[in-house]
Amino acid sequence: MLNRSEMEKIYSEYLRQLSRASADRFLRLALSRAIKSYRRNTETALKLFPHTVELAEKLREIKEYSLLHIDELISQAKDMIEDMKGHFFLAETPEQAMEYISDLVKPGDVVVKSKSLTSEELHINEKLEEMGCEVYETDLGEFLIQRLGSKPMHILSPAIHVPRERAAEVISKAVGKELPPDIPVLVGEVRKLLRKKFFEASVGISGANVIAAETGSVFIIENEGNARLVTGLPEKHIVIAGIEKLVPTLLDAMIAVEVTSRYANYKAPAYVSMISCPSKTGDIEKQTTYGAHGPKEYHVVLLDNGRKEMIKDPVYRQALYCLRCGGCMYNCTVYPLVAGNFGYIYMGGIGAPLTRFLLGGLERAAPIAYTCTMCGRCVEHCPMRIDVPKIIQKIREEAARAGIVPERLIENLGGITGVKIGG
Amino acid sequence: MAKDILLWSGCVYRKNLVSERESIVSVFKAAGLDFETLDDEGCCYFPIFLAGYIEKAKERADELEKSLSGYEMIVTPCPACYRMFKHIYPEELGRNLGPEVLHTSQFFLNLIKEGKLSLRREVKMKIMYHDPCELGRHSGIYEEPRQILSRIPGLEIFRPRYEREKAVCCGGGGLLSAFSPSLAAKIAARKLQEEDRVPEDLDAIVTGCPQCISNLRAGIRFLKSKELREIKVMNIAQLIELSLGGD
Ligand code: SF4
Repeated sequence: MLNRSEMEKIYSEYLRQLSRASADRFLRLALSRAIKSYRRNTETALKLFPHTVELAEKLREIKEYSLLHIDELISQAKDMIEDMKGHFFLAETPEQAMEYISDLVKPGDVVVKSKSLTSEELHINEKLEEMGCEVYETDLGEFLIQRLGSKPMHILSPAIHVPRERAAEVISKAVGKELPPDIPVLVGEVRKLLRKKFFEASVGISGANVIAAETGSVFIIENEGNARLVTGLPEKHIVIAGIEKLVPTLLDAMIAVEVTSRYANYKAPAYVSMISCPSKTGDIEKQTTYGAHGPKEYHVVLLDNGRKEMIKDPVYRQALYCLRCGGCMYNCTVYPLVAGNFGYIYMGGIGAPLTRFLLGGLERAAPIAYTCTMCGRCVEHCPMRIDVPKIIQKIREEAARAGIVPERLIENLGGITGVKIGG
Repeated sequence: MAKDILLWSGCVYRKNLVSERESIVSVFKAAGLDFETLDDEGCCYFPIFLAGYIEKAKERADELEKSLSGYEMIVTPCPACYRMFKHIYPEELGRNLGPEVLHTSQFFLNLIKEGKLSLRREVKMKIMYHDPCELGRHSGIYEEPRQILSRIPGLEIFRPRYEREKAVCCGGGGLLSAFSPSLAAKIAARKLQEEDRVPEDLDAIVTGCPQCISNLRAGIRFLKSKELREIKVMNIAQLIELSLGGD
């Protein structure tokens, strides 16, 4: 299935990228600052709220239970969302999801988005633009990345590698005037630009950090306030999330919110939105009317795209416990030198199984797997204690079966061990 | 006569760290032990397993079972071999190879406690102990190397910012040093400078893994000052050797 010589090209290109990144002194500096502040903030947050560690253990159990009862949770969420006049769609593939979403937008629509890694699995921005929509990422980091045409370098701080000078260039171009590399000025200009777009937009697309099946409620954690506008101002709000975001109850969801935020280095995030249905009012004659001040239409699109296959395997299943807190990356052996280049779209060691199943396949996961030093330090820092080395081992075993272990690796190993591995 | 103790060196010691290996042999001899080595030791197949070839590793178990049979105990200075024999074959591949397996740090500490090795000579050095991932996080051996080092008179021990479970990998693990030696070396340099924050007056980094020794040495060349680039990387046996005898 996978062609060996093509694979070798992928490995070479990937290693070249890593080597370029590791020689980039600015990236190094930016990363070491980010790592320092992440570690300091997380330490403070965990010291202030030491029970978070126990909550994380509990959350791991909740996640495991949820994955093992996923069909039940999906149908529970569907029933509740539909009962409350929202729309629900379970997409097996990104294509199905995209088709569903395409019916909700029309050419010329302004679409505002708040951060959603899962939506990358749909290549949604490109697809919507092809349809003639104007798409705005509204999370500042994502806004920069979108304009740079580069890939995100961290799951929480996608523009971790972009210095203020570069940001000034990008934002100047977007607003059509020369701006100084002054961070508050830049933030203010983006705010002005996007404020207009939030009002013009007919569709808002968001992700979800966790979803409570019992009420179908979606939770979104954020600091910038953009998700509130994305989910509150346009007429239609579409949520795109993986099925693994489901947990049974509202209380379970709150635990996920608390743990995710703490390990994402916040004592408390600026905002947590809980959304259960389209906006409504019954203030005139107790007659419920949809579309008060918030969206009139509310859609929840849950994506399988290989997740159910992952759930079946006890090793790969763990990868779906991931909260995207980013802690592993800040404590990684490899990441601090090369950032998201150690990854495909999903990054870091935990990115390997996600790449394998959700976005990229084995050919994109294998380079990540062979870069991971399998040191296990991330496990010590992961709130879900995901056994990344074990998962990486499994991907390597798949690579060996597919005959795509990197040739340079086989050769170097032969030199030391004397073991010859043919073909 | 029962063949009791086998010193299993591992590929990296045999091929690349010959003089460091000699120190291990000297320590064995200093304790007055009967031990054997294998002329055709071969590979433990940990790297082969780690590359993903588990079937090949399973096949290797047959040969190993033969060559190791009859020994009561295997002592190895390589944490990869240690983990392979002690944990991976029996726990992951369903093959118990028979003999008890010890890492040299465990074995040497026992000898010291039994009085077979006496660490009496002062070693005036400032060292840092680096926890190898295979030995520490993956095999749970944190104490023994530290206990040995703490018994060496004169030794000043510098502690890195992160130790034990939180210790930072040298970058040579998971076969990265075979996939991208240059990246592995840069990782080692970053680890020493930014994570461990080794001081300029450090004489040596001491560790219990040949893979770490090689990769740390490769990384040290990238450190920013001449003093830092002169830091040595040694194994535990070399330190023991320095402290043996005396009075
Ligand atoms: S793997 Fe663990 S530490 Fe890394 S992002 Fe996911 S939950 Fe956070």
